[in-house]
Amino acid sequence: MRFLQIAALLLCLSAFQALSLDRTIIADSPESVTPLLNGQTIPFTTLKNADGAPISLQALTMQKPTVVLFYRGGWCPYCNRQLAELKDIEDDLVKLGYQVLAISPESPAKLQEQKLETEFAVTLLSDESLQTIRQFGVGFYVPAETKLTYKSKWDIQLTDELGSDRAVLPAPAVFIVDKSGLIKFNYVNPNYKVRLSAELLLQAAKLSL
Amino acid sequence: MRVLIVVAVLFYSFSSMAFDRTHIAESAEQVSPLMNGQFVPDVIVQTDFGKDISLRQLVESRRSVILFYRGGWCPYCNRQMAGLVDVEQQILDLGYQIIVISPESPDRLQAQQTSTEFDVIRLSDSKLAEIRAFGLAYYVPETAAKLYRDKLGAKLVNADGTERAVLPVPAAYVFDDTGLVKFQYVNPNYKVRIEPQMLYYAARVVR
Repeated sequence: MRFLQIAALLLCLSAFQALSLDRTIIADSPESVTPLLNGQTIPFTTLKNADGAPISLQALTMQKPTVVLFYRGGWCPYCNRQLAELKDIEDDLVKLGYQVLAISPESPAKLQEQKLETEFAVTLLSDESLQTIRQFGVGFYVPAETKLTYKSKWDIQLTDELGSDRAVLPAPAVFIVDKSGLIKFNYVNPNYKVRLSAELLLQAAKLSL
Repeated sequence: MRVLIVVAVLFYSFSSMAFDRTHIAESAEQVSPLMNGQFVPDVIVQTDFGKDISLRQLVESRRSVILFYRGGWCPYCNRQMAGLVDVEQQILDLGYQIIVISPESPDRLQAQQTSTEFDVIRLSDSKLAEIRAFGLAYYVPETAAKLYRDKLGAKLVNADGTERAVLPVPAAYVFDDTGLVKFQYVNPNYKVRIEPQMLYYAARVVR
């Protein structure tokens, strides 16, 4: 009986905790992600560059105002189109003092392949551990059938959550961050086919300085 | 004892259910607002004359810019509204209607209308239905609520059956005429609002 009492109490406590929002929980669908908001500060987190070397996100963002872009991977045509479109505003962004970091769950080795294809100065970063994607509140579980289809049809190997066979992707997102790590602007759209246009990104970058 | 277990189980199963953005957040930082690519919720609000109106019907009649603000008692909100004047005509010229929504009662909206001249549609959400449906509602800390009431003359709305005041996190949304969110800006820091220029660009680019 005492045991039951404790169990009930614990259950109550955990339920209460669930009422306070935890953005780092991986969502069940892109529509239920809970991204960091404007006015919030980006978390301390570590990524890997295309050479596989660990890199602190803060170490990068404290140097320059930054456009942090989350994309699904080099296999995703909508992402590549978005990255290609960035080329048009790259000079303007650089003149304004910005750097662009593009983060995906792909491995550093995969980034190497993409690196060869792009000519411009966007830094591709790997979040293979999904730590950064979680911390920004943009991660969601890919349905098992979708994972299978991607694999069998296009030989796309999605990144699984550590210790499980559930694949995770980020809802494509853009965050504009100042040197103190404060989010000045964000754009998140769970519909992966719709991205922030380069034109609007440039305006947001200008007004966020 | 049995009751405790039942409550715990109910509570638990409820909280682990599908994500629900309509619940009132414990703080402004914990809201989970309606996102780009999602649709305008179907809720009833009131005009400044106290007439019921469906927000979805209103939005589906025309492209819309919707601003959520805390109330006429909030100096940051008034400053934002004043800044809106600079881009108001440009936004209207793009074919948009501008809708501003606060939890203030229709009466209070009437009183405010006389002091402004904007060509905007003012809506009252004193039942918090829309603010909740947009995922913007949060509980105001007691000390802040007291300050707003005593010092700023705010008439805050309490959550149903509680003494806890609720406000929206200030937000700006741009909708197309199918009711789809094309752009949104939400900031839990009520002192920071979207730049009027940014709102105009957003309205222009996503059109």
